[in-house]
Amino acid sequence: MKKATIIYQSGQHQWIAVARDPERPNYLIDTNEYLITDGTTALLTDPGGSEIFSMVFAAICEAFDPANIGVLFASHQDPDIISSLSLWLDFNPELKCHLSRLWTTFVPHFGGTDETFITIPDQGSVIAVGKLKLRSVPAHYLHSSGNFHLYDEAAKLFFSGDIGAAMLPEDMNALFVKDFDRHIRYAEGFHRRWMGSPEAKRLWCERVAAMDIDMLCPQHGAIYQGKDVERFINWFSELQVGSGLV
Amino acid sequence: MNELKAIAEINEDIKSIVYAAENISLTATNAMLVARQAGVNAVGFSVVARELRMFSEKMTMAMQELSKLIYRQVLVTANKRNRLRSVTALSRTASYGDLAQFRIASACARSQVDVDEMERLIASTLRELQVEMKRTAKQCATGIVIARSAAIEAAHGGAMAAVLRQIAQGVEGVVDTIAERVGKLEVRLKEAGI
Repeated sequence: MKKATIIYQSGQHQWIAVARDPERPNYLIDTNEYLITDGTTALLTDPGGSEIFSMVFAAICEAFDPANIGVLFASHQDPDIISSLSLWLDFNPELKCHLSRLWTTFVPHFGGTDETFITIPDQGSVIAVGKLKLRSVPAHYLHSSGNFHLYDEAAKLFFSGDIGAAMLPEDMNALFVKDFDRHIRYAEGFHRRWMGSPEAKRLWCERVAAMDIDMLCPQHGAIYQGKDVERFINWFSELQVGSGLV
Repeated sequence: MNELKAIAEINEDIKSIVYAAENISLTATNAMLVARQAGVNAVGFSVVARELRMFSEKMTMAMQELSKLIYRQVLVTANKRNRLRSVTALSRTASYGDLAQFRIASACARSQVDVDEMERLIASTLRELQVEMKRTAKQCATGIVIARSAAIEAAHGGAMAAVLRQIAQGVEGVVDTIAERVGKLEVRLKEAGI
């Protein structure tokens, strides 16, 4: 079963990682969901696919009342990101979902109406969660053409969607990266194939390197913290991507 | 209110009981330490503190069982909502003419079987939850008796009487809170009929 772990806490402000499901069948990619809370209100990042909805929901219930989740954030349009939307709306029809303007007519195929979506313009936006102000940061073409990450300046935590993702073997199931050099081997193939544009990658690296980040939290794999955040950005900036060759 | 919302609310109620029960263990440990300090003046209180310790261990086990049951209930209820969506979508498809109905019928039936199975599991977990709540309510009644005994024994605590009385009041407060929440939840589970 998935487990909810508090990875940041300051007063009522929390980040809860919902990750690692050893019972998940191998044909489903493992995902991380992050719940960002301010007291009794919360935002859930990339809530996941419909097949894992029950596991995500049950894990959240152990740590936080899901009725208080008011906002979803979908980094992009993929099924492992947001195909559970209809089930979340079934639970709470008032939920709002922040999403790139590119996908607001595509994602309703998973669920939702024009009342559900709050469009994020290409340059990003500010998303309020209680008193928190989170910033959606453009990451277009990495890998989706309408793609956003989420920065919490107060916590110094950065949700990086598919960037930083790693397809880890079963013996590397720690929540945080323990051995960067070993870890990054499991990230390389994914980044080479999925990240489509060297120019977009360069812009992203410059943008993110200028931010004060303690933890870089991807949607798959382990979380980078401390020095590993900078090591990851440096590694990514050097990586050759977007050759178009298979 | 849909059933997932109802079960999520019940989960929150159970969490509040689990948190309150965590205090019992701390209070019991504290009571034993103070009784030891009070020495011969608190022999009676010391016996009650030991009872309280046993009570808190039983409560911890009951809370673990409740947490396990409610987790299973949330999981299956969420899964059922997912399968129900399939049933609804397939049934809608079946309404688009005879051929559609003919082709989709077996898929529709399979999904319905899944939903029925989950409903059976939900009903049986609900029964287990109700039994566990009854057991917890009985334990709370014992806890209230222990708390009252602690208050009586505190009066014989000599110089430590005031401290012991304060502890006894603390115990009574926590047990009363748990008993009240358990009582409300018993009613809620009956009403839910999930």
